[in-house]
Formats: sequence, C-alpha cells, structure tokens
Amino acid sequence: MKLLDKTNLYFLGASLLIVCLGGIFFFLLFQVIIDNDLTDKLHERKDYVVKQLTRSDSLLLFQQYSANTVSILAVSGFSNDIEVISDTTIYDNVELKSISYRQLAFHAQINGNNYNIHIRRALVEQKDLIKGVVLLEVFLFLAFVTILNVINNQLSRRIWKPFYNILDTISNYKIDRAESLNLHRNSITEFNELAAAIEKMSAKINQEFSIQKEFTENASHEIQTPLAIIKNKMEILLQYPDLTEEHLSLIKAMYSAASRLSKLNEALIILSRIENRQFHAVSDICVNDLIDNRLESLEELIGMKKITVERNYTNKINTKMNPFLADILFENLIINAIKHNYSSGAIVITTESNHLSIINTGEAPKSEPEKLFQRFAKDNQKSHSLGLGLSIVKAICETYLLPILYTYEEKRHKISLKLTTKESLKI
Amino acid sequence: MKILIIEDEEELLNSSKEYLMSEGYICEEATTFKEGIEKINLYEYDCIVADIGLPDGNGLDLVQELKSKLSETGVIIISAKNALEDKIAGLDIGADDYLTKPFHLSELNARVKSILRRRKFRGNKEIVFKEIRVFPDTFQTFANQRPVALTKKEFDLLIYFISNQNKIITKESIAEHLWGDYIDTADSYDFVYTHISNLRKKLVEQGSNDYIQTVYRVGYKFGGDEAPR
Repeated sequence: MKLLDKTNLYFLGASLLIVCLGGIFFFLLFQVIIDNDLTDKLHERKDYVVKQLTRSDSLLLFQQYSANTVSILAVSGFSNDIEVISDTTIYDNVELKSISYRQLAFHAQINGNNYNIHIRRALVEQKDLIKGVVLLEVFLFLAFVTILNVINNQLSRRIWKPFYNILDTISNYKIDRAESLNLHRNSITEFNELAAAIEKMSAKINQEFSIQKEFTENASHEIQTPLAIIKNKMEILLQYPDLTEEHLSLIKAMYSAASRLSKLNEALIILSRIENRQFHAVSDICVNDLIDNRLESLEELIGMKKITVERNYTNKINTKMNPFLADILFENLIINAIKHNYSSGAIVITTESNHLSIINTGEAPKSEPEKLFQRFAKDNQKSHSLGLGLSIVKAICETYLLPILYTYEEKRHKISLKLTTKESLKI
Repeated sequence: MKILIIEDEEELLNSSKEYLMSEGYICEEATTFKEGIEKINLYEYDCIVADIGLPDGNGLDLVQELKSKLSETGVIIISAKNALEDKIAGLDIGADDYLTKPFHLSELNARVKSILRRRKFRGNKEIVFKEIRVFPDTFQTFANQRPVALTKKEFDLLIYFISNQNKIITKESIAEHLWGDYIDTADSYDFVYTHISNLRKKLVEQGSNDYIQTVYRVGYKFGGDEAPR
C-alpha cells in the first residue's frame, strides 16, 4: 500500500468520525435553536392574540385560524395566570396524520371576560431535521475527501519527488561497481537527512565490501604458496624407495586433496579477480573462432563420451572482450555442455546475429535453474567438479552486462547468450 | 649442467632444488632479486628458473638483464596462476618457457630438460632411452630402429616419461601435462590410462621392452628396469 493511500485512509477514518460527531452536534444545536425560536414565536403570537382580543372582543376574528393553531375558549372562572408550554399531537383532518405541536396554554382576562387560550405551532419533525443534517454532512464529507485527494496528489507529486528520486538512485546503485553514491539535495530537510544517511551508509558498505574483496583475493593468493609446498613435498615423498602400497594410498589421498584444494583456490582467485574488475585489456574476439578452437582442444573429451557436435553458424559474432575472460567464458560453457551430457549425446552450437546458444542433451537439473549459477551449486553432490564453472561464467557476463539465460526443455539444456557487437566494452 | 633457481619461498625452492638435483643437475639458489642479479652476473648457468614475484624486484627485469648479455642461458619464468599479462611480457622479453604456481615437479623437470635440449644440443635433437629414440622436431619415434607411429599425445607422453625416468609421476601431472588445466574431471584419468596403454602397446609391438610401470593408485613410473610382466 502506498504511503499516500495509507495516510488517506487514516484521514478518511478521522474525517468520518468528525462528520458523525459533527452531525450529532449539529442536530442538537439545530434542535435548541429551533426550540428557542418556537417559544419566542409562541410568545409573539400570544401578545398578538391578547392584543386582538382586547381590541375587538370578537372571537370571530380568529375563525380564520385553524383550530389547531389557536383555540380560544371563553370560561367563566378565573383560575390563574400561569402559562404552560407543552408538546402535543393532534390529528390533522387535512393531512390525515398526527402532527406534533408545541402549545402555549394560558389564561387571560380581557375586558372582564375570561379566556383559556391555546396557541400551537407545528414542530419541525425530527425525521426531517435528521434528513437535512445527514444530507449536509454527506455533502461536506464528499467535498472534503475530494479536496483532500486533490491536494494530496499534488503534494505527493511535488513534495515526494525528491524522495522518489532518492529511491530511484538507490535501486539503480550497484555496490560492486565501486562508485560512490551521489544523491541530489533539495529543499526538504528530512529528505536531505535521509540522503546524507544513505550516502554515509553506502560509503561504509562500499569500503567494507572492497576490504572484503581484497581480503578474499589476498587470502587466496596466500593459500596458493603453502599448497604448492604441500604438493611438491608429496611429489618428493612419492619418490622414496620402499614405500608400501599403504603409504602410497595415503600419499595419493593427500595429494589428491591438495590438488583439489589448489584448483578450487585458483577458481576462486579468478572469480574474485573478475569481480574486482582486474581484466582491463580488451581486444577483438571472434566468438565462432574461439569456440572452434576450444572444441578442437576438447576433442578427446568429446570423443570419449561419443558426443556429436553440431555447429549452426549463420554468421560470425565479433565482439570486444578481454581475451583471457573470453577464453574462460567459452571454455567453461563448452566443458559444461560436455560434462552434463549423456554418453553418445549431442551438443548444438548456434550463432544468429548476436545471439549464441549452446544446447546439450542431458538429465534434467535437480535444483532450480537460478541456483546453477551460484557458487558451489552442484547438481550432483558426488561429482568431482568444483561447482564454480557457471558462477565464473556469470561473473564474466555481469562484467560485460551480457544477458545469459538457462532453460531446460525437451531433455536439453540450453544456455543462450546475447553478445555485444557494436561498441567496444570496457570494464 | 648448472641451474639457478630464484625463488623467495624457501620450501618451494628446496623442493625444486631437490628434485632437479636428483636428476643430476647442479643447482644453485637465490632467494632475492639482488642475489639473483649478482649470481647471473658472476656465473654462467645453463638454465634459470625464476619466480617473477620477488619481494625486492620483478623477475622479469632479471630476464631482461640476462638477455641484454646475449646469454645462451635458458629461462623459465614462474608466476602466480593466470597472470596472463606476465606470461606475455615474459615470453616477449625472451623467456623460453612459463610455468604457473603450483606446478608439478615432474613438469618443471620436463620443461628444464626441453630447454636444455633446445639450447645446448642444436642439430642433434635426439632423445635416446635404451632402444627407444625420439626426435622432438620431426615427431618421429623409433624402437629398435623400427618406426613407431605415435599420436601427438602419446609422443608428448613418451618424452614426459623419458624426462622423468625412474620417478613416480602422478596421474594428475600427466593429465595436466597433456591437456592443461581444463581437465579436472575424473574422466581425465581414464584418458591417461587409455593413452598409456596405447603407448605401451605400440612400443612393445616394435620390440621394445615395457618400461612403464603402474604404481598402485598413484600413477606411473618409467624405469630402466623392465616392468614385471
């Protein structure tokens, strides 16, 4: 839910409450005002009636009034002078319903005659009053909400603009690009504080990140020497005469483990060097030629698995890349296609405009396709591979911003790569 | 044959030295750039194995210094893995070969031998092991004067074996020697096995003795003593 919607919702709730309370208040207020007004009117009428009676003494004068509004009864005795105000309902013969009245009852002695006089005024019906108030409130509420919305939308467009700018910059920011984050400043203090805080944080993360990267690379380099020593010493140890088979087994196991560790380490060094953008030199690469070269050097591996290789080159793809990285990229892709293939399987390599696709037969991946590009993601945990091949591929593709896609369809693995053919790329 | 090994890591230096000495070379060592320069200027070596990443200087300058003297000395430069720039630079200024750390001692030995052959035995580039004669330039092999038709890989393998006589050579080092780095699957050992059986068969067919011994689980040994049949 957007911030604006959220605040609007609260505003709506609050205004609804205010409108309801306001309605009740209005209702009560109106009632009091009308009440007072009514009483005043009754008294005015009383004065008028008394005046008229004093002047003409004729009750005929009041025939024109409906019996419901004024009733004058001549009485013989004088009771008292107190006037009584009360509410009453009288059945109306014209409208055929009961109507509420307020009546003022009093006794008057005029020109020696005694009268009992009732003056009535129809009450505004409560139902009508409520109707009026509700109508008014609904109108007010709608007007309020509409204006609020308009204002809010305008505000959000104007006031929140710097916020969305900041958001946009952050979401496009790549921590591994080692660029410092620069956010625009504006007239709103809070957003400036936010920008400053984010810049500070990103600088800190950036610094930590590069320290981490440097550490990884240095550690890998430092590990390489002791590993080399271990391997060399074992090779010398192997040359000792009189080693039993048991000794040989032990040395062999250690030697294999050291070799594996050293290969792993090499792969990690390459990976961190790629990620640290240490391959700057760029030269013209013909992808087709490079692939042909690699296929030739892997001929034996392909032959042993009896894999048939089909090359559908519709055109030559020329690109600019670091030659070493290009080598690793295509070598890894082809080795991958060989490794995860059936015996007597097939590899189909297609180039079309700037698209390269390498398809190979093979068993369905057990893990999700996205995971295949992760480090140490091995579909078969028992396999001897390091599980770094595809993450190196991915790192290279990310370096050059090349979109790479993996799919598995009809028992075939397919990796498609879109190469950049026009402008030269620099890391 | 005199070899100078320039390497700042003492234990690596010792290993290379021990292995090469067991091959009958006279080995001298230098652990710093300065010491290396001194020794190059003072003495004659047949081959120099130089680590590029020395603490007090770049090994490439050593190579340059050496080449400026128009020396006949062969040079193998050693550097950390995958420093392609180093490799190109090294070979550009006249290094004969390039090895990356970590390397197999049997590989170093084979490279040294190959350089020495090229540098010292011009016109007579023939490798002889008992009844086997190998001509690296023309890719010809003879056993008992009879030609043996070997594939490129079998040929490389034979030279590798002869270079490392009576040494146990691991399957890993053979696989790396023949295919470089990108063979890291278990498949590669089957390859090695296939190539070795073929080589063995072809040599024996031409009347050679079988010199290739299988060393339990570890690898192979190419020996002067005939393998028990």
